[in-house]
Amino acid sequence: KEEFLEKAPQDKLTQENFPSNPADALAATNAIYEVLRFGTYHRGYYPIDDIMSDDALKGSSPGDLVADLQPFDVFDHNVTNPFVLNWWRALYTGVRRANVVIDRVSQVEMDQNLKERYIGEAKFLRGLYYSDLARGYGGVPLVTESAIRTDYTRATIEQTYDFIEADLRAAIEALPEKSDYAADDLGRATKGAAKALLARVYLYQEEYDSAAFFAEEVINSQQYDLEPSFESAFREETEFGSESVFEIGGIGVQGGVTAGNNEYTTGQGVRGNPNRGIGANRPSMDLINSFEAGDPRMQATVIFVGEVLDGIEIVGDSQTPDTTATGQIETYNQKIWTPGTTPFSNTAHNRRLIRYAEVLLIAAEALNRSNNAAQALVYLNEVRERAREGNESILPDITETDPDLLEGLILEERRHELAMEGHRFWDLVRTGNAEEVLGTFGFQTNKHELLPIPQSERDITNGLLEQNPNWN
Amino acid sequence: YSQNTVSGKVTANDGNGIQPLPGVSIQIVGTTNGAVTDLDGNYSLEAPENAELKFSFIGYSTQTIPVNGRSVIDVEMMEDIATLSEVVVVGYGTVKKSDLTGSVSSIKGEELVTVPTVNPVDALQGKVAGVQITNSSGAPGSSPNVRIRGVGTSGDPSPIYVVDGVILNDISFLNSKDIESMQVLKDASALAIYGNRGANGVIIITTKLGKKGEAASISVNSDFGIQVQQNRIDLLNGRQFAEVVNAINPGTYNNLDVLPNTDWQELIFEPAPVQNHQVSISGASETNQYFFSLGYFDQSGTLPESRYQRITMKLNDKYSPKEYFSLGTNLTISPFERNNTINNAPFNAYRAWPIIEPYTESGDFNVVPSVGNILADLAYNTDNVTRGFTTVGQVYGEVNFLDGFKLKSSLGVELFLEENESFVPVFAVGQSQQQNPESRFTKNNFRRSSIIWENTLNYDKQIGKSQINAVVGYTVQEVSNERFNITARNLIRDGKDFRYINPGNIDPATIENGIRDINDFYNQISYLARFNYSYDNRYIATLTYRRDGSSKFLGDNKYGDFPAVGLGWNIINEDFINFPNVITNMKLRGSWGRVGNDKIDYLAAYNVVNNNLNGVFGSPEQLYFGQSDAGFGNPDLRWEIVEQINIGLELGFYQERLTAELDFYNRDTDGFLVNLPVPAYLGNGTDLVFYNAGKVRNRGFEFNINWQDEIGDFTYYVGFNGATLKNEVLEVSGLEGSDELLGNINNNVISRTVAGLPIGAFYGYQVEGVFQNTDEIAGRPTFAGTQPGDLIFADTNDDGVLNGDDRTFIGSPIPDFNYGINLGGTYKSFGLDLLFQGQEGNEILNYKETVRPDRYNFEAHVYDYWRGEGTSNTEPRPTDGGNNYRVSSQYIQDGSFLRLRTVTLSYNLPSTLMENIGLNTARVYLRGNNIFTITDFTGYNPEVPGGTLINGVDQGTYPVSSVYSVGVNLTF
Repeated sequence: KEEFLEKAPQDKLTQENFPSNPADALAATNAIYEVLRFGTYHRGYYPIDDIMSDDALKGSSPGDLVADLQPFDVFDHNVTNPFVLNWWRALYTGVRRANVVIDRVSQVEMDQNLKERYIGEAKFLRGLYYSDLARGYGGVPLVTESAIRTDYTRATIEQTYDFIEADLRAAIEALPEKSDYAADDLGRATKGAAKALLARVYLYQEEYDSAAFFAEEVINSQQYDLEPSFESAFREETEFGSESVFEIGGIGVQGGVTAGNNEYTTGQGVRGNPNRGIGANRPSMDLINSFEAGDPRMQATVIFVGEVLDGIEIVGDSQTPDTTATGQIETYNQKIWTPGTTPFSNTAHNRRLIRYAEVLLIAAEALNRSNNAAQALVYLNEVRERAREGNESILPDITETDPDLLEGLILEERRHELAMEGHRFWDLVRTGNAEEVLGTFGFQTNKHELLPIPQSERDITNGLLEQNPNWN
Repeated sequence: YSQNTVSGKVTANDGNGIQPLPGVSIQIVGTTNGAVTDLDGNYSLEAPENAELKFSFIGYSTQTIPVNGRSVIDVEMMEDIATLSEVVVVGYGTVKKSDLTGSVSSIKGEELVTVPTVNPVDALQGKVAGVQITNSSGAPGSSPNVRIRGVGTSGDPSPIYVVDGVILNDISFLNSKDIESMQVLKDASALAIYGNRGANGVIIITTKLGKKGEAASISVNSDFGIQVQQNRIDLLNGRQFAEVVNAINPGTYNNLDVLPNTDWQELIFEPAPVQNHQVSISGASETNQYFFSLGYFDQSGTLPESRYQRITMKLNDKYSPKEYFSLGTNLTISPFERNNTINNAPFNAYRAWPIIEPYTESGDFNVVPSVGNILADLAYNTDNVTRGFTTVGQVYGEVNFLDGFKLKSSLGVELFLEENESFVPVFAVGQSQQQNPESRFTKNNFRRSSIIWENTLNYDKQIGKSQINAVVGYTVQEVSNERFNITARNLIRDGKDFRYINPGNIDPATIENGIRDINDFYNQISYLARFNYSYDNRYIATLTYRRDGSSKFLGDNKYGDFPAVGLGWNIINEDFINFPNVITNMKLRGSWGRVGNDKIDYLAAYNVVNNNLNGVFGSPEQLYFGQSDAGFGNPDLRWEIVEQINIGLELGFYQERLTAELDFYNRDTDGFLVNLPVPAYLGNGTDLVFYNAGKVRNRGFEFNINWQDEIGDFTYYVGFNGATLKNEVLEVSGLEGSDELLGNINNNVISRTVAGLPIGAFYGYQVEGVFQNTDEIAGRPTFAGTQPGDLIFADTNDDGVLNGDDRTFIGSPIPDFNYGINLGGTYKSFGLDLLFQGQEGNEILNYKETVRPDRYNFEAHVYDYWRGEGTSNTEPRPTDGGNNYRVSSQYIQDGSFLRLRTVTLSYNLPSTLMENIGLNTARVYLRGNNIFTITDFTGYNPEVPGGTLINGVDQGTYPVSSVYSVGVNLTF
């Protein structure tokens, strides 16, 4: 009779009996990667990264998302903005799934090497999610267990970065190089990816020696190289190619994230004809005009109406010119272009989250800051050389050796090489140039460097999470 | 004295004229001799000429008549309007109303058929004090929200239904014409017998069965109505909309004279028919009682492509071959078909830009920015049909033995099967919205089954002045649900004939399938006992106890104990009350007890792992199965416990022409179940977690006062019932360290529940006007970016900073007072009945206006926006988003209303006319429902959906309509 009152869940495992075998351990590891394909993971990115910068405008049609997305263009977003919360939520969902592997896979009886790799993948991904939290929100609660607690307070930014560094160093120890993975496992975290991310994390903390060290470790690992053509570095034929340090795969069938869609493209795909998305995050005239004369990367970064890509004419949605900035024309982000005519075919696009070109530029910037301008110029010019694609009349090699002037040139190069990839806003912030460049859009120093802690999060936790300065 | 033969005819007026009354018992007073009237009401017996004859029949006043030497005595029996001897169905038995210690309201079947809706419970609206019925959707076949004595939980505050002994959560499969009576159990003494399921009240429904001694009758009822959508929300017209947009972005529209003006609300609503027909046969022989019926209900919606059709088949039969043994069955089979429309069409019509023509010049659907063209949605997304049936049945056996014992065993089954099919063709309205690039056919099967086995032993005995009525029982229930889903895409043809075949596409990804969820799966075991004792019809005591075990809870929390005590005193039967013509009833009763609520997700206690959190790896990319923690369970969950005190007074005056029933109650819900959001940093996504989150008190006073009388041929009645309600949270203990519960919609906090305030109290900024100039802005704390024309939010904590801490209590969604007014009368063959219903003292959050991620149309009042200093202190400058849209008192409206719920004009055809055509009675009527509503609320309907932490929030609904009907009732 007592058995009559015992009814276990029918279609789900429980956290008490999962993960319990090698297959579970793999499934738990795979689940951490799923978050990378969430629209909320990326949509935290593009409004906040590029729409907040001078490189992109809200886009879409004037009425669409005018209340939720438009404010990022003019720094009018507030503590209840849903994008502020959704990005936070997606990043922490990733953290939780990483914690499951780090915490519990260690108790599964299985091949020791594989187990260590899974935990290494989890630590890389946890470091990745926390690195976004750190630059987006500052010091954050460091959650490492899967239990309901509401008493977390915010760690300092230093503690947060220490935590990230520890995870990434452990990942470097545990993970194989990219070339050690079978073709079926491409897309998993690698030693090189962990080093590159760690270099980026040090760069953000202005620890240039360490940043240079790990960037050069990646460069010297012989695992990576630039693709011959800048434009092709974002296309299908170079997926998981030599330039790809860390890449998020996607499958373009109808069915959403569960079916393998990478939702990175759904918001910013071409609007109208062909119909690839809602056309948000449009490259600005400011960005277009900033490229050096003849830089082919401009055409490779921006889709203009009338262009033909893979035989598909971009007609766009001329009913909805972007009225939010004067002189703006209809443009789209070409770096996410994938052949096809439907929004879901667009979700096959693989987002290159860390490209080798970025690693070179991190090395250049860090070495310059460490008084090694000569070596900095080598890496910088490697990027420019690829960009010019043999056309010696454009993008001449840079020879500047004054550290301050070279710094400016490297940052300009980052803007052009990494445009629309979610770096520009954070670069302006970390280098102290944000108010100068973005002040006209409404950027205020001591406020807009960070997003606010979402109001609902502070509400649920009874105000234990302190708000960032000057947000109300 | 000599013995004479006395004979005569006993008749009664049953409402349709004087009829013979069979089965009346006639007893010679002081002896055991007597007789019973035959089918024609005739009797004959031998009696002394000075004897007194006592005529009695249930439901009629007993009459004692001296013979006085007469040989013929005809008697007209009078209906016992006091109904003090009325038998009331309580759980697992019946008691005389005068022996009841609990608060139970009874509604007879004929009162239930005045509302043309699918769910019989709708008819309780405005009739029973303390019962709040809210029709928040006008979708065909939709069921109302039912709340008994306030809200004490957030799990599921609906009552349970017990239909002929089978416990159910929904009765929309029942035809109200098949119902004999409904009893609403409200206090602990009545509810405790339902233990863990009694916390939110119980509605016991008894379906019809032929009565022994009554002639067989055939009844035919038919009702035709037309539903009309009378209300419109006052919105900006095209020109006004353009002007407001120009105020936000100057120069957006430069030629206002050429802009279209589309009234989207007018385009979506259409009058729609509703019809309801039923034929039934009821009768009885010595050994067999039966009732059969067939019903058909057909309601189209006031939105296109919506319709609900239902057939109800009812078979009740009780066979009693021996005096001590009977076997019976109650069976309802109810197939239905529902055409589903786009239920949020009214909300999208509300938001759609009025400056867009619905169609292009070439007749295609026009693109409506940000909202979509609702007419296109209605055209392409409404090939969506749900078919299914409910079977609720029960077989029972009863054995009477020794003296007063009755053993009953019943096996009840509920089986609900539903199959939804929807097809969406390839279509494209705009180039970037409202597109479906691949045709899609989805089939969704749902099964819910419940088996309940109940065994009870009753004992009924009169010993001297003591009346004993007792029951013990044991019940077991098993519930399971399952949903199965399959989708095919890229079908080879659009037609209905091509939906069962594999579309021939070799890409396996075009077929998706899998068991989607099991949302209920639990078992329960219960032991129950009740002892009712009454002494000399004066003093009554009821003791009730139930012990329940449920698989939804873990470990020690599985079992709960639910006791209750009720006491009653029939003061009228005391010698010191002796005003025979003035006071005819006076009873005082009181009760205390505990009941429980277990309406939570069956997985709520478990930490579950989610499947299909897949990774994508490899070149080319492939999908790899992923699983991880999802949600949090709460293994400490326990029953929500409701402890209730009730004190009631029943009064009758002037031969029960004036009756009054007054009840005071205090209902404390301890550990009320709430589904709470946890911090997003725990990585729980948007999943909520169940908690026993505190203690809430509902306290109120209920009254039901009725007056009825007749003046010559004119009879009339007036009834007024009402209930006050004070809801107060006593204690909050949800998430650790938190003394508040937040209700949020899309992460916007709209309510905050804390001790001292009502549950679900609205929470937001207090608006104090509109900033007229920059000096005013400089003079007080504001949000960043505040400009003249923006709303002034109060710095409620006076700390000189405006932030989330300044949000405050801005209104309560819970009405202070609900009431109903019934009045009517008959004159000769005509009758007129009116039912008004209303509520006072609640607020509604017009959420439609607050959250606007995109640009939508505005409500008309926005046009009076601030245009410069001194122009408005109530309507801010227009914006698309930003601080003015924060949840604030700006969007709180008064939810009080008074509605004419039902008006019926009827005519009974004269009996002389009917005899010729073999009819017994014939009645025709005209009826209107929801004729008018007096309210200040600007939405379609002040009856907005009620939850607990999100209650009284208008997020856009399918509005209820007015209905004008004509009908006929015939009996043969």
